[in-house]
Amino acid sequence: MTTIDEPEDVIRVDRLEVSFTSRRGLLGTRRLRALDGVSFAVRRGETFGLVGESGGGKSTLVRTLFGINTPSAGSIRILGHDLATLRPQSRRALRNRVQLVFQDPYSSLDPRMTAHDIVAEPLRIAGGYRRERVVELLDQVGLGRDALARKPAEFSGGQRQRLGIARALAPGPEVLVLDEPVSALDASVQAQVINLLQDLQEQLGLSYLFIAHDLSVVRHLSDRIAVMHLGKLVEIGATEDVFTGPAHPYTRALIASAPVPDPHRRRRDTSTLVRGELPDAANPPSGCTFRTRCPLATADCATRVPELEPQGRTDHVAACLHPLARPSKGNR
Amino acid sequence: MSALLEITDLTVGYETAAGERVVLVDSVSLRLAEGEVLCLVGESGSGKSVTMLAVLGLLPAPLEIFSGSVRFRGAELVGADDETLRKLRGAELGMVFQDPMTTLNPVRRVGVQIGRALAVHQRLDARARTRRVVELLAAVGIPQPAERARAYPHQWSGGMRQRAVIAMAMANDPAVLIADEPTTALDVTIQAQLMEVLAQARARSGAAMVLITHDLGLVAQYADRVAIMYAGRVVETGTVWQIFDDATHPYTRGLQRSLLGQSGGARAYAIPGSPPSPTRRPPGCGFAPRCEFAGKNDECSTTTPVLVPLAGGRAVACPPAIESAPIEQDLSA
Repeated sequence: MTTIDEPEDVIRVDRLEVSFTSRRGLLGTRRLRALDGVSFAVRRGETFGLVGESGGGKSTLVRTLFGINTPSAGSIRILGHDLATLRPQSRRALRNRVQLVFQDPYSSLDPRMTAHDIVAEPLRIAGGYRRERVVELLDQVGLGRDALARKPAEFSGGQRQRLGIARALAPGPEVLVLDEPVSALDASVQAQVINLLQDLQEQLGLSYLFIAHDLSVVRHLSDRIAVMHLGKLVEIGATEDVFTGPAHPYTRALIASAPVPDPHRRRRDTSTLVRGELPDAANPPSGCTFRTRCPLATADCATRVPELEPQGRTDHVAACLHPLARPSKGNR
Repeated sequence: MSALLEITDLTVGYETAAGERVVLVDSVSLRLAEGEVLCLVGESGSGKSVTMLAVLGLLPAPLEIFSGSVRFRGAELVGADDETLRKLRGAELGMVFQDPMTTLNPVRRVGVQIGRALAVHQRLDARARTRRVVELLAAVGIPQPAERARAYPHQWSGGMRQRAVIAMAMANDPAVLIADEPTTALDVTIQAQLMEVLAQARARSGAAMVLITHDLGLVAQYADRVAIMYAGRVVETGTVWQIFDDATHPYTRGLQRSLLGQSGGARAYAIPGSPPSPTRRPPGCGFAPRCEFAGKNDECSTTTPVLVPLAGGRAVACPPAIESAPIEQDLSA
């Protein structure tokens, strides 16, 4: 594959739309817009965090990036290549450069294979198998040579996720898409895997698209974050800007919903929590899709669709007709 | 202070085909006072859920209680007949599990199920029962409860189902609510709503609650007292303030240090190693292979530490930590 000049953005998604149609008996077909005009870019070397609730479209986005879902509109550029116009052969080559790490190390690894075979498989497919390379990869994730002959069931949850990461690293990727990589792990083990991901990023110059629902993990790891609600990005910005001064009421609600592990800071004010549940994606509210749960919604929220607009700080955008003001210093 | 629920030296496990005993819960003692919220904290496999299933008489085979005592208002539950336990569950002991579908019957209307829970323990005529079902659903924030009561569980979202389970748990005004990871499967905004519903329902009724969770955020927000479990044993208990402001056991301290702070980019603290599987627990202290103290004390890997009562009502199972902590032992206890 010919490499176009090193692009600044390793993943670039523009006005991406993914729709599904489902047959609903006599009622005919329903059209569900799982992703609706999603635009963002993951810059080389950064960790870009994507947060939002289930049903928001995070999984659809991952599946679309890896060619499992087909976009109905918009474009995806990966390492400078437009996925839609790429020939199958080049697409395969590109796939080696962007790897996926799954949430559940229990179900993503073949239980009958040894650690050696699990890591060797992608090397063989890519045509670069050497036993020493397998050992090197296992070392890199902190497992070491004595893991070679063991099968997934003989590893702890944290070790299994390390094995999953070693497998993802085997083809020598530049980008890892991390889909909830630590949410299945015990608290005392989560931090180990998070540190490993940070070390690998530094050593190998990797770029991460990090998808998670745990805000403390996202905040810890990400340089920038995007917040997704019902198929749309509602806020994008530098992590600390978004956490200390969320502009979208949904972002504020997500932050306020996470229980603070400090009994001196018990939640007294529940007014910033969202009311009700995520609306039906097949029948979304008019205007702003968050308005039915938003404590600040007004009449015009039902008629106007908010676009992502700058929020004062560099790179901080939010899609809200009534964005929250940035708190003055000292407030939270 | 009289205990509403008192667990003493409870040991639970199973016997292998070879006649070997595998112990999942090892000499656990806990006290729950009237109206109190006790958080039982631990990682998967620590024995926190098995402890409460034993209390409820709901241990799945082949698990059994090997020894110990569970007293509710002074009456012994270990060895009590099924009928006694069944009468207690749903009346005095309300239950909320992680998956609402372990409680809800998929082929019965939600309202009918809550009505049946009422009918088992209370004499009400049909109209009074229907009225009470609608009240209960309204109290947990179900909109249009009279209509929604006629729906089947699959027509409800996960969050709504869990509200129904809370309504059912509260139906007979229990003295103790046992909630095992009640919001773990839910999204963060729904989790926050549900915890508020649960906390309000509990506070209104004045019931005591055992909240089983791995989430230190929920512990900090809702606990009066906390018991930390590791490898089948309680390693530290105390008030929520003692546990968060002044943790003593190295595992409790490690858990708190590994909480991710706000600093982006900084390295997280990680407890080395991973929790032992119940079939391969180390001798001595279960935490010893991961502990900073254990390297300096041979006893850690030979002698199982017991909970030592300290001043202020806390208790810690770690001799080296107690020695180095500026807390007096409670010699009267």
